[in-house]
Amino acid sequence: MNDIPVKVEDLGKRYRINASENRSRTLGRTLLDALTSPFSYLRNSLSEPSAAQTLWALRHVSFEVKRGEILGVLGQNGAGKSTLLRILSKITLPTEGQANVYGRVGSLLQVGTGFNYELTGRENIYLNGTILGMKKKEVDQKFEEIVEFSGVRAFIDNPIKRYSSGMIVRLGFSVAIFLKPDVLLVDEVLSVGDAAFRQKSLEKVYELVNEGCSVVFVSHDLFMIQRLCKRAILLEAGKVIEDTDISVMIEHYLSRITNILAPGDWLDLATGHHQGSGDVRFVRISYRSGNAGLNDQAYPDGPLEFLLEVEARIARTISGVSVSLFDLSGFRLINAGTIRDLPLQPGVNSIRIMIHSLHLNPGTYLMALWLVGPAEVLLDQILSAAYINVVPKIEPTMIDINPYHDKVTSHVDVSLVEVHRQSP
Amino acid sequence: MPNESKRENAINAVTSGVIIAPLKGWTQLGLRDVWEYRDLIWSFTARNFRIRYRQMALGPLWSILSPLIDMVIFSTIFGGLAKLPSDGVPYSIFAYTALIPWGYFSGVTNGAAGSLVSEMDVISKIYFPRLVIPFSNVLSLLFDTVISLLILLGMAFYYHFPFTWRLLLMPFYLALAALAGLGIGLWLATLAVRYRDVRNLAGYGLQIMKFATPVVYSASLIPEKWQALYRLNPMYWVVEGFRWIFLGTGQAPSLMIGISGILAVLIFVTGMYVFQRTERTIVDWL
Repeated sequence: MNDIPVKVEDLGKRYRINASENRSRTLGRTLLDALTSPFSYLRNSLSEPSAAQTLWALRHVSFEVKRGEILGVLGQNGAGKSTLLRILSKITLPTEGQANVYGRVGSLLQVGTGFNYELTGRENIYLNGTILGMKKKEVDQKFEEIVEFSGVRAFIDNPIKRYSSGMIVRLGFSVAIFLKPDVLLVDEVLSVGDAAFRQKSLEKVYELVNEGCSVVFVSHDLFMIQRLCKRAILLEAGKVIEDTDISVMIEHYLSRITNILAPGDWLDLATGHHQGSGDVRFVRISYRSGNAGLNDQAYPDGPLEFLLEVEARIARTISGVSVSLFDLSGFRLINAGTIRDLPLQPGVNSIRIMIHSLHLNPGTYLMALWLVGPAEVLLDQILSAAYINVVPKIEPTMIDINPYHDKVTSHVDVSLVEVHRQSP
Repeated sequence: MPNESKRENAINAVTSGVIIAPLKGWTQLGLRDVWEYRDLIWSFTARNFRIRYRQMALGPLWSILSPLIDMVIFSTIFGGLAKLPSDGVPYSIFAYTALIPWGYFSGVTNGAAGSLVSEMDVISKIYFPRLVIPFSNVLSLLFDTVISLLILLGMAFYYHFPFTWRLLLMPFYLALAALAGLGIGLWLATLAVRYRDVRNLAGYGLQIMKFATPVVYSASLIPEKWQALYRLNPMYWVVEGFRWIFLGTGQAPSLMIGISGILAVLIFVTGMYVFQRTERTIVDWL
């Protein structure tokens, strides 16, 4: 029994950048080189590749995962997350350092790898199970559970080429999860499949964790990690730059967000990143909740009023305008607006969008703007205009009641959109 | 509670820790790892077998037909036109007896040589001892070979060749062919990862080796002074051994087969070693 099933020490992985050149080498060419100029050939093949030719995908990476812990590994694309997973799952070896992994490693990175579409579900369970390192006997024992969990019992003796892609994923996932791993490597694979199966899978992962399985969960999404992990490491350019509590990491992340729009302030959109034809453009925006006690800040279930100013070059009709709010992991939670025709006058017009009841938890949200003409012609769009804060309405001691925890908002009330001709 | 104790057992059953670290110096051949995954060898074998025998009837049919077709061609050209000596037995059965073990050997060689590339999809995503792939190929090819052998037995019966106790030695010869094929194939697989032209060269290499083995002609054609070198080739012994078993001609095993066998083992062990070193970083190369 080991209390630290995963112990990574000073791990490094170096890749050659000019790998393509190496790859295209032929044996004939190599022999020719070796024969015609043996000395330079020897020198080239013996010397270490220079720094310019190589890239450290990972360097000096150290961390531990305790028994029954879920560790989040956070990083942008190219930060070294997949290299780390490849090393932990033994697909490739590190260049330096070492990773000590105790027990059986399961991975939900590529469920269903090795499935053969000509074979039946039953045959594929055995094939996939043994690829993952199970004995045939173990698969025998778990066969019923796997079939039950996957929900493809009716088709178990049909070739999986007749399965839907969802069924194949479920089958692959079921095999992987019943491997009973001591260490489980998880990518964003949990976002695969339908919601019900996803929930079931997540519960199964937690069940494994409660039994002592350690999980390394990799994501580029801080808030995805927040939902699963207490501790996370942050990878940047192959190095661990943070290894801390997830709440601390979120604090750091939020502190880097600077463009939070205060209620009542006007945000100048002229410099924002616009998309669309530009015949009508967003000029500036402001919002307020009308609650003086909260200084007009937005709050859960409260009203929220957006004031938009758009500039039209000529008199024309627009057929849709909206303000969207995204959570920090990029889910669109609110889309408030209209697809009703609105006639605009030349010059600056002001539009009011009123949300009667804002179904959002306290937090920070990203605001995006959208404006189309007839036939859905995109006139203007700003994907990340600014952030706005939603604050708790009541005493801070009560905020842990999160009514919209599952992020599914029922509906958004939008008032009629009013259009004014701005007085010059 | 019972669940928990089961869990403890499961953890205790797992052999301690795995250290994932760069390869340094000589490492083990990884045979224990392969043994751990022996059920996977069987899985791959069953898969190959099922796909071939379920999907297209022509697949297995071809592998049985191909030595038969070769036999007809060689009988016509070498036996009929060139009138190559065939140790006094009908040329067709003389050639067919050699073509079966040769086909097995070249199948094992090609299978091993292409093993890293053919299973790339799985290799790049999951770790398992890669040696499992060529090993399971050795087993899958055995099915075809056994069917071909049944045809050979029929032919031997037709031509009134007696069945003797020598038949019991056949598995030994097939094992020698598999050993040599695996050794050469593993070397080729390793080189093919680094050098693109190896696959083409390998085709010619096998061709040359086929003619350096008494498959289509009698070994008696080789001058005496070259015989010692000629008999280093393990496939010489396999092919001549098959003839010795089925036709009573060919070459009975002698001391020299030991030397040739040692050579095969040497190629096999070094092949395993270089393959083992490549497999751990192969995804970085492809």
